[in-house]
Amino acid sequence: MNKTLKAYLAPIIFLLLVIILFEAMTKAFSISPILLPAPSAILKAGMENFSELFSAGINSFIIAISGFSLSLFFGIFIALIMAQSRLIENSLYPYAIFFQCVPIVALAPIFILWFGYGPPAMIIISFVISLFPIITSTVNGLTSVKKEYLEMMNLYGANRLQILFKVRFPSAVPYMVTGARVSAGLSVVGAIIGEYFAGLSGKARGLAYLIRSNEQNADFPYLFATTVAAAILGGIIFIITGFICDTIIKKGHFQKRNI
Amino acid sequence: MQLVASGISKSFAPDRQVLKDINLSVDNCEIVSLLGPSGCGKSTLLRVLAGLEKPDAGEFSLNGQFSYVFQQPMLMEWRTAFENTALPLEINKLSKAEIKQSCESVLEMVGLGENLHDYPEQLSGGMQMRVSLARALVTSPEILFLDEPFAALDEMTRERLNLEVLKLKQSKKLSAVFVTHNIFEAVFMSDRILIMGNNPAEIVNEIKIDFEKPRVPEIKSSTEFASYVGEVQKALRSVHE
Repeated sequence: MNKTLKAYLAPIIFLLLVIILFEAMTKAFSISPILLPAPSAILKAGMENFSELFSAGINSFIIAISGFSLSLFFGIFIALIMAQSRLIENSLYPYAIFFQCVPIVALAPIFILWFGYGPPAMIIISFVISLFPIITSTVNGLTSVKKEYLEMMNLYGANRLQILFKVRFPSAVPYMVTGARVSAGLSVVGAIIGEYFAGLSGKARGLAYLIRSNEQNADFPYLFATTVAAAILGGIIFIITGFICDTIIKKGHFQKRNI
Repeated sequence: MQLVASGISKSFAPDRQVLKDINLSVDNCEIVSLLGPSGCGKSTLLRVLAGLEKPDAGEFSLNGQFSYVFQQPMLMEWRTAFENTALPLEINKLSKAEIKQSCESVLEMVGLGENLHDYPEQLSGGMQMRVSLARALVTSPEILFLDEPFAALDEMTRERLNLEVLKLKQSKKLSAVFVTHNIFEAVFMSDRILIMGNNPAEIVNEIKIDFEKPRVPEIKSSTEFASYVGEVQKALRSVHE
């Protein structure tokens, strides 16, 4: 058996074992389905409501991807501005770090105040949560260029823009990719949280809405199935981003960074 | 005269003088080596001459174009051999056709005609250094500043690149200032060796190398070569004492 197959197969077998164990335990100890429905019941609920789950998943996916795209665009843009001078960087960078520690959830009501209930506020919440890792990692990349590259460019008589686009930006790509991976995961968190705050009127019909309504209807197997769907959505976005990032690094012959 | 420098001094801190009153000149088509104990300031002197460091005192005049070759190849890993070589020309906004022509011919010259579109990761250390050399030569400089460029290479590769530089010296009438700490390399390559002392660095000795025969690898086993090496070793020992 080759190595990659082993690397993929091992976690899948582990997951199957855990599911089987759970199934056996819920049967053996007859655990109440309110506390923990059997995996088979969760699967059944998921299958029965597949089309509703799927469209809720798509809706949340759109919110997350929109938030993520915004943070990629603005994150890189802001980082490019910050890297233009020491003064700008020194005055802004501490806040880029600080905002990563701010519980964005605390700001959610303000965004709703500004953007109203519905997808726009949800996208903004997802955007704000996923923005700062992109900024900090891109600034790191733009400013930690090999000293010799800069000396070389100065010897060639390069101007600021040439240094930015021929050296700094390409050097920063591996850093941006690292930031993008973190940010992609956060954008899903933002999309779900955003919907709890701004989407429960039912306008958005994403996964958070479904989770909340299943909870209220006491449909526990379906509630668990929705939670699993949210986890799968996060996984899908993480895998897609990872694949795109790896492709960029490989096709562009950029240096791999260990995360 | 290609390069004349006089009275160059440089300190990194009030109590740390690195270069003291350095005078040197490099003639047309002449290779001058700077040899001395490591950390003596030979690289700093080269950086001053290239304008990468400002001297505290002294002046120098440089006739014509120069190129600087770093200790490491310093290739951009996202650029092919061709694109790395093209970098200085791109910055000076030459046309695509001119860039293509100059880069291909200079890469051909350093023996990488087959590897134009290889990325640095696909090239051996010696080949990477050749690309670095090609990038230095593509602007047709009259003088090369070489900062221990072959130090990280194995002996065979080093010898081949040494011959390459000697060949370029003949064909392109190139001058070079060559920083090294390898005595054999210095004797083989140089027309003159400047021995530098330690703390602060001054030029303490100058040895002219003048072989009767052309510089081919075989002269390394001649008695003439051995006596030059002996002379340089003796000069270096006196620095250490």
